[in-house]
Amino acid sequence: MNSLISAAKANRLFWLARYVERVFLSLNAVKKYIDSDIDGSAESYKEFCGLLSIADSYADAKDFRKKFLYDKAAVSSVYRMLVNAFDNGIELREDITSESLSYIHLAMEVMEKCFVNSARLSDLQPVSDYMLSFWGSIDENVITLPKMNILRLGRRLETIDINVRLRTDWDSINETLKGGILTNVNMLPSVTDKDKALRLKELVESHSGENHGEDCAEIIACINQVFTARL
Amino acid sequence: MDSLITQRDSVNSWMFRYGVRFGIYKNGEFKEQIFPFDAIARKISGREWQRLERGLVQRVNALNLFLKDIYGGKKIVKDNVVPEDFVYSSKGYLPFCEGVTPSKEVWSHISGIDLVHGKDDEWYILEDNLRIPSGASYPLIAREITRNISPETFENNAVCDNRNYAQLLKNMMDYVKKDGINVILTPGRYNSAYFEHSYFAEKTGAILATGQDLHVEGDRLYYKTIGGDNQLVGVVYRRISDEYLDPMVFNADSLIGVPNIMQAYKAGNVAIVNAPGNGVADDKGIYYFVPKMIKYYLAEEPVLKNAPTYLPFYEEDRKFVLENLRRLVIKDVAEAGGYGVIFCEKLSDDKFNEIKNLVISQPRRWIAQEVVDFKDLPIFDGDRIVERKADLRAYVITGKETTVWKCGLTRFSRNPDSFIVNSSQGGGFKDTWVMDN
Repeated sequence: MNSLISAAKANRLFWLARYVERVFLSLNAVKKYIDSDIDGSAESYKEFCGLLSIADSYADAKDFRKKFLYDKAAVSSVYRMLVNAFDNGIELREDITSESLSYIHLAMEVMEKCFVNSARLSDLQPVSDYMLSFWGSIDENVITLPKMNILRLGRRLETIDINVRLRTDWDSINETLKGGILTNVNMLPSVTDKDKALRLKELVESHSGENHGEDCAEIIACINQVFTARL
Repeated sequence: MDSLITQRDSVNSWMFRYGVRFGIYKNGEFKEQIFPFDAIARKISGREWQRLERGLVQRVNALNLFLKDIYGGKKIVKDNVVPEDFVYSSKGYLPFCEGVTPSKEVWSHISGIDLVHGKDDEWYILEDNLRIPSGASYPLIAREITRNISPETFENNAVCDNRNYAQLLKNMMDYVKKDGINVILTPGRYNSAYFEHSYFAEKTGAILATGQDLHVEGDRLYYKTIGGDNQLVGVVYRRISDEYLDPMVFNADSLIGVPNIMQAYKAGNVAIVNAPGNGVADDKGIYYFVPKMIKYYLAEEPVLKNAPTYLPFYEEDRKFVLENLRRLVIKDVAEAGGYGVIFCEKLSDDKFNEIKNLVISQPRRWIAQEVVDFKDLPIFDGDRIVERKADLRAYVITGKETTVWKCGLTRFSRNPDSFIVNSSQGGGFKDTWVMDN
């Protein structure tokens, strides 16, 4: 496996990682909101939509459950997230290996079958399983550091983004922040935006947890800018 | 083979899992579909294969010499073995390539030779594909999958291993390349053979690039990497047709090619696999002359036969063709992929007369062949086994030496009345077992 990456491929690796992680985290998150609907007002989904900036165009909780998972036209549906992961992954076969790509194929197949059968959320468990298998295969097969680094950066960034939006406890977010995202950024080839990189370092290292939503938003924006500047 | 046959559905599931598809445009819309795999392998005995191997190496070597000659001294034309009308009027002939010698003097690095096995037990060559022959990835991945799901099948059958194809490709690319990295140039995801492009990149360790990833500076080809570094490219296995390869030289509207790549090639700074201009040698009209080329360049008798072919270009042949048109198959030399093949026996009177007039008015456009009654092979149709027409595409790799891959793509028609086996027309494929005996 070669270690050279074009700008277009770097971008695809980054977004592949983000979408795969978004599918996994979104499925986990929606399970919790659907669960709270059982005992609550049946409108918890509205809060969920608000946190993830999803336009609430759903008639009710049932409509939300169906469309958030399967709506092929909606950019925010899990189905579309998976299609976006696939669209990036299919152009990266030689970088991520056929085996890694196969887990996205398999998840798509489950999603299509569940869509046709209007299946329950629990029937989508294999999709989550395949996303984890995808990461296992990446760890096993992607042996070139530059590619692995971009994948890890995308995955970590997505984790922070979703967790901040869902107001997950600070310790979990901090763990991801301190767990290597700076290293991922610094390992990107040829620093072209040194100011942003320094600001990012400052934000991550000095961050205490207060106002973490705003700070993390700046961190995410900063990483996106640094990454884009290096393409 | 029984164990493999009982698990035939699993093979197709695994194919799906790995995204083994080919793309097709229908009504202007791109669709990907699976290339149906049939578990009953075609078997070719070791002895039979040896003869095929000898004939294929001979043919490809002669074709390479023909290309060298046509873009060089043109001795075969001067000696009236091949008429110049068939060379210079061929769409595949590229004046730009006059006097250009590819690295290591190899023109056709990957040759896909289509054959059929006649009921008379003779193998006939149907056509030569010397530009961008595709399809090797399918039997390659099929073997990997079938070995995995039915190891006992391969324990009980002495089948030659076919998993060296990527290594053959890599060795060939390494042999012909100039300074720099190996690249596979793809038109992109919406090309019908994109699976194959990306699969070979994975298996050979070459970079898969689109035209936008490459650029030419000072007659050298570079791959631009993240951060702006330029990597020199030594060899390009292009999966783009000649006419789209370089908008500065060929089709100016091409968005998938690389501007000035032909200058880098002409300057000898990059090898292109297969060499531009090869179309002149796999033209259906030139096919007629390949046995003559073998005698001319190699002073050998051809080991493998062409299907009996007539050229309406020659008056004597035209007379014969017009008298016997009903039983012949007519091929438009400009078409490929199973298109432009007309079985005259099945034509309405009006259509028949239309074709007859076209043969008279445009004799260079057509070749006429006897319908080779080739052997049917058993395939599964649901749970039934039925017999269908099948051909064989053999892959011949030319680097330091010419090697025939011990496998091939056996394509079959799913339609009981059809001789057309192309995947684009609904056919399926089988593994080809070359037996180790």
